Amino acid sequence: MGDYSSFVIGAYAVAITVLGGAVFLWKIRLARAKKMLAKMENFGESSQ
Amino acid sequence: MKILEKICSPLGWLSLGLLGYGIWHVLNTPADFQQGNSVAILFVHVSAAKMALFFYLVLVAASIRYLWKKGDTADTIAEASVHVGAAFSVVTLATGSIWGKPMWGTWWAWDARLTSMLMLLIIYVGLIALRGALEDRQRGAKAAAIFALIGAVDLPLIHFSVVWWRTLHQPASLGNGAPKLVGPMLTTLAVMGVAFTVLGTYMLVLKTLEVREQRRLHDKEEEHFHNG
Amino acid sequence: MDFRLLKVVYSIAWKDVVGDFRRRDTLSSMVFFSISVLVTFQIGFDPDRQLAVQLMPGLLWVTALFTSLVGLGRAFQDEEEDGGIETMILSPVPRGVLFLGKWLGNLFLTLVVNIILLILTMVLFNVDGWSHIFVIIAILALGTMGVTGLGVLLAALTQGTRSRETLLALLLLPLVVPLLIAGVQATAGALTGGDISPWIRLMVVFDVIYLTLAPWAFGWLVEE
Repeated sequence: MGDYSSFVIGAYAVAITVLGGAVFLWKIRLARAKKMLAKMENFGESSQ
Repeated sequence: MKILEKICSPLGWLSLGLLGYGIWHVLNTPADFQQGNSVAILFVHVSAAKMALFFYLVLVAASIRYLWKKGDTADTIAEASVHVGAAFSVVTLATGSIWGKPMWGTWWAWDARLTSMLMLLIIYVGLIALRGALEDRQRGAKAAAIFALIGAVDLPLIHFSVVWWRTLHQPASLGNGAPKLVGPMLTTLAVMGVAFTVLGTYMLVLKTLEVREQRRLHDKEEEHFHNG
Repeated sequence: MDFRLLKVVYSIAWKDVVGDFRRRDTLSSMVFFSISVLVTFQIGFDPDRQLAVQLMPGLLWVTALFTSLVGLGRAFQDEEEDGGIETMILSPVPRGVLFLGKWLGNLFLTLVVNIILLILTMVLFNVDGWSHIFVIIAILALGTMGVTGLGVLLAALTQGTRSRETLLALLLLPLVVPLLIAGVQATAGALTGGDISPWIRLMVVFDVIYLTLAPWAFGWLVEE
């Protein structure tokens, strides 16, 4: 039986980074897009 | 679509909880006789692989729906599923490689399953590139849907030919992919499987919402551009 | 069988072929491109006689694949210059027939180049496959049919995009992996006298599937 702990930790770290990173990235992009849209709505209204 | 906004956050928390529970299981699973504790990697690797494939099915369903009914929702979901599927493919390949290093001695082996998964990833990337290259959204949607369906027919052929090719060149020395898991490991695998499924669903919902907002933003910008 | 439709297929194909032969640019670019690939391989690997025989099937197929990409990049070039693929919609010809015409034109051209490539490969690398040459040409033809069939469809899909050639390659290469695997194995088998029928069957299945699907998909793509 072998101890491959460093590999196990590495693998989980990669998985967390990729999946967590994707979630994080998409959340930020979603929030940013919503904010920009809100700004544009206000801009549109005020120029009317 | 409004439902998606409501369930997004709760799904996120649920995935986190399930993943935590899954990891607890992993930590409490006795090590395998043959592989030592590297079997822990397989729980992630196998679950990620299932998700990578599952999201291609979602893509196929969305593509067929789009070609049939031409709805924006179908196209948005199709686009989102590509990104989610790609993320899971990357995880599958990376964890597969890391698992393989202590087992086979190399960071990569051209075994049937890894090669097929790599091809799947390339097809996902191709879809992202295709949408990016076509500026007209309608054209992009149609092209992507058609390519996705061609890919769907092709993936079994690719897998089949790769398996055939590798059985010729690689007798059992490399080990035939992942060994069988038994006993308590099966429970852990099942838990991780469910956790990943919920996570994947959450990611799909999140990405779909993001794509939708981006499209709205893009449309608004076009509108301002034309009116301003 | 509607002979008028056949005539239309033939005329579309022939127009492309004649155009290519007359201008010679596509044909000669493809031939010289394949020669440079062979030279690059020689310089890169510098194989001895034995190694050359082992590498030859792979070398042949990889070169043929890349050379096909050169030809496919130009598949809809005339249409692009004349106003885009939309002009094809205006014609009353059924879409499937249009596709067949484009495909056959590209197939003829690519097959000619690939056969030249095969001969060049055997000559430059001193591989004696002359006794099996017709079998190898047949295998090459099966592969070329599939590659050009899917390739013409993808060329239509990517028409008018930026960095179109790169995109076409990115999309086409994974799809034709079964043909590549089968083609290389079958060619190697033909040279050594092994059993190549399973590989041939795979290629035939692939070609039948895609040459049935592609005209249909092309119709979907081009219609409004």
